[in-house]
Amino acid sequence: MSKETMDNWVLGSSLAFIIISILNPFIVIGKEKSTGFKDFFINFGGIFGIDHHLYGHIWVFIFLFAIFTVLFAYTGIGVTIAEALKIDDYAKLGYWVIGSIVFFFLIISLFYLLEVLE
Amino acid sequence: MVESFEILGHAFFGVLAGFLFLWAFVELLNLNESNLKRAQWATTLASISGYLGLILGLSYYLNDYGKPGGDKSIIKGGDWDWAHGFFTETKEHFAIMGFFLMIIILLLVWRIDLVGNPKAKKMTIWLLGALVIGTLILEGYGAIIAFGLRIGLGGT
Repeated sequence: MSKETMDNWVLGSSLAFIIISILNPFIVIGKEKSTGFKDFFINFGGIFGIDHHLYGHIWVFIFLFAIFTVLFAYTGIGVTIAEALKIDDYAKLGYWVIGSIVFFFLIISLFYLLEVLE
Repeated sequence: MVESFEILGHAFFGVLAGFLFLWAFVELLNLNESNLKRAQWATTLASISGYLGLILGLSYYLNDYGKPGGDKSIIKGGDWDWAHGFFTETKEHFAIMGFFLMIIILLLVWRIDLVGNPKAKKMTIWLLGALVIGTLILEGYGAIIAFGLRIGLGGT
């Protein structure tokens, strides 16, 4: 299959989204299970005005998303990752994004379901 | 008063975003030069509504939901304590990803020639479909959380 030239920003932001989606469940589990981890997010949120772990979590993700998007859009790293994942057109990129959403949704749901059942 | 505005606005803009994403989804299914602008603006309006819903919900969650005597403690003190333990906890993390997904959607509809690129159009349709389903899931979760609050307040 011929390789499609993809828009830098769409490729960069999509890959950043995929990475954040895969990281998200582990951050959630870490936050629930480790006081130190939760404190980090509370303190990080405090820098921006609100001492709440979710606020810190969102700001960490905003920074990660922005950094990864620019990094993947304007260096060869994005293309290298896309090639490694055999993403050579927009449709496949879309499947990866959808797959990452399903992944984090299932893991987070399963984790909180087990927490409730405990 | 502010709390009521936040939570009602959160639900209103969330539902509105779901309908607007559905509109954009249908436009994309039948995309051609004549309805391209409509698809772009439907997506943009949906995203604006989605961001308003998320920001209002977040403001309520951070400032009111968890405060002493707030809705969280009422839900956790009721028979439906799992409405917080599962549905609120899952919803807050699921909703965060909506912030970023809408950026990708906006980049796709405004930067890519979707009429001339069927694979990019396919990606956009998939992501819009995910946003429609995601919005429905979040609205359903919100309804269960509200019912958990009602049960906590002694309702049936």
